Amino acid sequence: MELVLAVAFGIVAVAAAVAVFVVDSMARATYALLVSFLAVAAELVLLGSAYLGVLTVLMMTVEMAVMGVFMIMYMMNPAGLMPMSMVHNKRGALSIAIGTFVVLGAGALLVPWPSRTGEPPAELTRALGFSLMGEHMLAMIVIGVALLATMISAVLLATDRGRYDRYGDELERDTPRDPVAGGVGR
Amino acid sequence: MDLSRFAFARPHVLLVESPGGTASRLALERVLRERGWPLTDSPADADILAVAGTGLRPYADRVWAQLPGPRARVDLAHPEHAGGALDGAQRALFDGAAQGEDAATRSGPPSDQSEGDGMPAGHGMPAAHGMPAGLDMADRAPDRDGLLLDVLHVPWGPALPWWPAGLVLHSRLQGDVLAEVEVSWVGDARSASSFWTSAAEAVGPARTAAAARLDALGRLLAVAGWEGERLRAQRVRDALLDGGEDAVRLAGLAGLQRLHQRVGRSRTLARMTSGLGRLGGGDVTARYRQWLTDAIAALESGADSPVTPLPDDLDDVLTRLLTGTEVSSARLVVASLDPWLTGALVAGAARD
Amino acid sequence: MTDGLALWGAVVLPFGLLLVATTAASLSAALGSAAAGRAVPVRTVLQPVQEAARLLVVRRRRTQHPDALLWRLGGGTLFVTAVLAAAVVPIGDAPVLRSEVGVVWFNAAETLLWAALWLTGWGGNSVAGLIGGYRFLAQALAYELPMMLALITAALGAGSLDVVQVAAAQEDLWFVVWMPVAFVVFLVAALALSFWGPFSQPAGSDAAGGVLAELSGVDRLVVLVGRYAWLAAAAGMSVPLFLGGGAGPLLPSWLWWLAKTLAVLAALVWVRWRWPVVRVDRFEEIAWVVLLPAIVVQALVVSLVVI
Repeated sequence: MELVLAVAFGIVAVAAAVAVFVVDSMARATYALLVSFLAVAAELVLLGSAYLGVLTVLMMTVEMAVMGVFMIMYMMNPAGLMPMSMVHNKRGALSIAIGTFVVLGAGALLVPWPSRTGEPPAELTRALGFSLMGEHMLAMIVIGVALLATMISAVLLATDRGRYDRYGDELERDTPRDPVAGGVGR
Repeated sequence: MDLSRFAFARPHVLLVESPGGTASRLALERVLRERGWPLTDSPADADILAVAGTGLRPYADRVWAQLPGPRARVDLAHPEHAGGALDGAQRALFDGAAQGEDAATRSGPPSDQSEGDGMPAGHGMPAAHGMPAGLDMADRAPDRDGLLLDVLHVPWGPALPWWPAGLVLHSRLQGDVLAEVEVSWVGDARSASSFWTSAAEAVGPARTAAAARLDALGRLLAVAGWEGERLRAQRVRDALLDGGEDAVRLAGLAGLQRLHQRVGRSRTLARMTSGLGRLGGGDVTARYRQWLTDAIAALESGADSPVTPLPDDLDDVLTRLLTGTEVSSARLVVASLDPWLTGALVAGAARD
Repeated sequence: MTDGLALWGAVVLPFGLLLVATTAASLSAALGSAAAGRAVPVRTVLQPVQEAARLLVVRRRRTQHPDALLWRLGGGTLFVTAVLAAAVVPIGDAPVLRSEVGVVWFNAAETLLWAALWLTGWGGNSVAGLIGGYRFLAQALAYELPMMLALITAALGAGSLDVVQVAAAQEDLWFVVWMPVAFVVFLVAALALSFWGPFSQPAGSDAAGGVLAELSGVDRLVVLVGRYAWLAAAAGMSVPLFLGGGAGPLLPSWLWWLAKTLAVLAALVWVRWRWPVVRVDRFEEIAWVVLLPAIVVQALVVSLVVI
């Protein structure tokens, strides 16, 4: 049963991935990519890594939904509905894609995988958490904070309106001057 | 056709008002509320298109073409026929054979392109921004926040629910921001005020002054998405317009005070409307609160309450206020100016 | 992924969810009648059924140049994602699908709703629908982080991502008592994700119905069913997360779960008639400046207690 499902999801993943390059609309390409990711997530769940699988669904769906919106907002193409070619540099892209697939596929088949020695722990997610965080808690916390700081600085650098634009050169205004007032009423 | 009788026991109605159709709109709103037939926002959800008044012909026809069917239409010229006209429309929905014929005569998705240059592009509903065959590239232009975004040309009104009768707003839309606005009117929009003048003769200036403000409040609440209180405002309005003196004393004033408690003091509504459409020191919040206090004052004193005057060049003011706002803010601002725009509130108009 | 109800559970689940969702619709219809100042006869309960019959009779609407495939797919997926979310909710003691990561599963199903609803708004090639889609994604970004933290806070209190264990950890004290902020944030998110009541701006009347603007007939029916189903699923999930699951005296646990679910659902439905719609652009700031810090502090308090 599991094998049948695994094969089915594998086929869906590859077919949807091919569809990304075959379809002629941005939205369809985006959502085909999402279907491909969802199928990969299902494979992960079948392999017993429920946490990683579900996390893949969560991350990829949000990512694709937001990406779709941005593409549609910025494209000179009414609401992304006009047919357009979704590939650039067809030959190069195709050769890289096929090359990577062959290398990875060959690796999967040719590497002498070790056979299982122990039993998987009862609670895989907990084990995963401990093996990731147990030894390296400090490092993880530092990386987490650093990543957050990076994101905030990136946003700050990207925005064209800082607090001096909002509150005045001396920060003298009580209420910021925004094109649209927020809901907190500051 | 038992199934369609069951299915259309509560048909959904799209109600639009043409200039001078105030009396018909009020009559329709009352019958619909008493029967529990819901008012809807879009042609796609409507079974019945009800046009209050008769001055919207070409625009209403285009909305009519967007009703999916089975469909029925009411063009109400005389408010006293509201109930009968709606009965007739419901019977038309039950008539499967006629609806089948109607469907057979229609083909393809409705076109909402403006036909030719002479026709103002006001199909009312911001429906499919239909592109000519072959799909044009959209224009792009810098938007309010300095981004380069797609531009759509979308008309709002005149056949739009909860919208000042006869107003057409041509907009250049980017995302949901109105980057540019142009105001025009269909017919003699200010003629709506004649309804309130005659109402003042019938039930007295105080009750009319309160009712006109509650009517405006009801429309604002509909746009603000507060259905429960919208219904209450309209109930009190109708009681004021035709209830006996006792009914007014009991239901009218008590209802008004309850609205004042719930709506006037609602912090959520105030937070959603504050800072919008600033005009003469007041924003949307200030204006609807003023309506409530004015209405209560009018009823308590038994006399008309004075109207806050607004600038005469309201069209230019509207253009200035709406440019650069989101659709939701724009609708709230328009609703908050509705009674001035349509002449329901003109200094002195409600007086004898 | 074991220990769930038997296979029949998976068959019955969609129908059960439909039933609870219909209850919500009936209640909303009754409240609507009362608001219009009309009597509320018993047959108001049947109003959702009548409404469904109406939508089945009404023809489907076509627009110019839609992306019909994605449009219909988006609408149809709504209910499926609600069923997926409901699958990990313990009906009393056991969910249809027992998963050690049930809390994250629920969250993932809810993000699929994002994609589906965006397609519903965008696919019809309509200005109003597109605006509705934009609004929903903006709203979703604003409620998602507080929602995730609310879920994590409950999981943190129980030390498990398994919904059954989260419910079991509340034997002594319901989480709602010492995580009130998380509970409120979860309910706010529940309203926002089912674009219901104060958070229904994605389907707002100011934009001619937003995501619903171009939907008629059966297309509209599936979207509305999906919306009520999500409301029901979220109410059902709040019970094991914060209200002690099926715990309670005398009655069997599934009945307690149902009673609590219906109580939460009734509150969520009532909110629609009590508050006006919250504009997305203003909610955005409230979510980031008020909700997020509040829930982070809540999570911090819970972590300190757990340690």
